[in-house]
Order: sequence, then structure tokens, then C-alpha cells
Amino acid sequence: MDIIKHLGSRLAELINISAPAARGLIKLAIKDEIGPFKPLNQVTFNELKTTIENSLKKRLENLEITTFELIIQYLIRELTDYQSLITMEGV
Amino acid sequence: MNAELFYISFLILFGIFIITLTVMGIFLLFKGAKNKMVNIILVGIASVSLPIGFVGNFVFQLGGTFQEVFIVFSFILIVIFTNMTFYKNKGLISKIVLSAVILLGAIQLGFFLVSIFLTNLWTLPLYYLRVSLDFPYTFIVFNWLSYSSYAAYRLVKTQTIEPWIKIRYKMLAIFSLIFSFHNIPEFFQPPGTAWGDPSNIESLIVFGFTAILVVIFSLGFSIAWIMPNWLKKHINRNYQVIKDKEYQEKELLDQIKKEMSQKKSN
Repeated sequence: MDIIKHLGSRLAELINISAPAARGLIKLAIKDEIGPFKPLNQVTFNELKTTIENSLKKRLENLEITTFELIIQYLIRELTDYQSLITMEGV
Repeated sequence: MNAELFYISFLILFGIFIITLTVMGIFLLFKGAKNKMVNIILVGIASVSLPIGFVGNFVFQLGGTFQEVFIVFSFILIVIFTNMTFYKNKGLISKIVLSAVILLGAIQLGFFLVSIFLTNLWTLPLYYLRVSLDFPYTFIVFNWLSYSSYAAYRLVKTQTIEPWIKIRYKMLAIFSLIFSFHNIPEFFQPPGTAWGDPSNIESLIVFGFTAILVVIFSLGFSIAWIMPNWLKKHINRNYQVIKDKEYQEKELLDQIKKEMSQKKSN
């Protein structure tokens, strides 16, 4: 999903890891939040937002990233700006 | 004789418009239901509603009010689609646009009711007032979609995103913009004359222009949404699709910690 790719690239820049690892972290957070059975192309804006606010935040805390609050705010802003990608690539 | 020929050609264009919009609407309904996307289901219903209104009026003679009810319904759904696709969590502007469209749609319906039930009140200035208010109504609905698609396109155009998705944004922006002007010919429609009446050259030209605009919109919009896979592949031909390695949770977290410590030591 391009929206995950996009958020992954942003997260990678912010916490200094590779883009594939950042995308993997977001996918893990999605699994935590909405379970392993929902296909990624059916994840909604609200589910992604909740994922970032809850499980991704926890995972960043666990990785001892001190600026996690700022990172979460930034990712929510990016998700809001790029939200139409969910629809555009979903059809 | 030539006028008749033009009239039939324009009717065929309207037929193409109605068929493409219906096919696209059904496709979007199916896709929306399959992928559980409410906004796509709504734009699918909107796309099917317009042809129902036109066919009801022109084929089954159910009247202009019948058509207008379906147009108002469809236009409101299109604005809701735009808001749900581009403006979640983005403040008041989307609600203001929706309220304006509901108000302008209700005014259009009011005009139609007056023209049918209060015929003695239905004067020429009132007709032109209706047409004048129809312009901002149509313009807002389709310009809102066009502007939103264009603004989103400007954001994504420099990002590493599949090119066919960028083309979809561009197509939605361009064809919505074209459609937002489709009621301008209505200003030149002679009042009291049937649409496209072959014996009235002015009405025939208005009918022709409208037919051309709507058919361009419906074909462009349909290609944007029902983009065949071969076309997506062709547009993506210079794009390297990223295939992510599937990590186990522990493996991924170890990898992240390793990368973070490497960057720190550097």
C-alpha cells in the first residue's frame, strides 16, 4: 500500500532506520491494532489513525525513542494530508 | 434534414454518457462493497443515480422534477465522497461546501416545483434566476472534486508513488473541471423550447455542446476509475515496485535496534 510506503519513508527518516524496517514496524502495529486477518488494502483512514496513536506509539516507546510524541503527531499530519491515497490505490 | 442528423448524433452521445456512467457506477459499487470502502459505494450510487434521473425524464416521461431529485441526490453524494476521500480531520471547509450544495440543490428543487405547480408564477426572470443559481451549484460540486484531486496530486507528484495513481489524480482533476462548466450552455437555451429541438438551431447547439461536455466527462471519469491492468502496467513501466521482505516480529525488532545503534555510533 502506497500510504504505508509513504508513512514508512517518513518514519524511517525520523528514527534513522531503513525504509523497509520502518514499513515493517507500521505493519506490525496494524496487526496489533486490527488483527492479522484484515487485508492491508482494506485498512481505513480511521484504523490507520488509531494504529498510529496507539500501537505504533507503544512500539516507539518500547524502542526507547524519546521524541515519540512528536513523531506520532507528525505521522498523523502526514496521514491526514495523504489520506486520498487510500481510496486512489484501493480501486 | 441535417438538423435531424445532428440531433440523432447528439442523442447517441447522451446515450454513451448514460451507459458509461451506469457501467462505472456499478463497477464502483462492486469495488466499494468488495473492499469495504463506503466513499466508493457512495460515488457508485451517485453515478447510477444520474442516469436513472435522465432516463426517467427523457425515456419514461416522469418529468423534470423526477430528474432533478436524482441530480440533487447524486450531487450531494459526490460532495460527501470528496469530503470522505480528501478531508477527514481537516476542519470546517468540507462541511461548509456540503451545506452550500444541499442549500443550492434544495433551491433548484424549489424552482422545479414552482415551474410545475405554480405555473402562473413561473416567469422568464425566474427561469434565468434558476439557471444562474444552477451554475454555482454544479460548479461547486465538480470544482470541489477537481480542486481536491489537483491539490492531492501536487502533494504526491514528487513522492515515490506508483505513476498510475498519479495519473488517476490528474484525470479526476481535469475531467471534473470540464464537467463543472456543463450547465453554461443552459444559459443560451431558449425558454419554452424542448431540449435539442431540431427545428430550433439555438436549442440544438446548446444540446450538442452539453452532449459533448458530458460524454467527455463520463469517458474520462470511467477510464480514471476502471483503469485496465494493462494500462496500469504500461504507465508503471519505468517504476520499480518495492517488494518488502516478510519479517518475523523478533527479527524485525532486532534489525531496527541494530540499525538504530549503527546510526548512533556513526
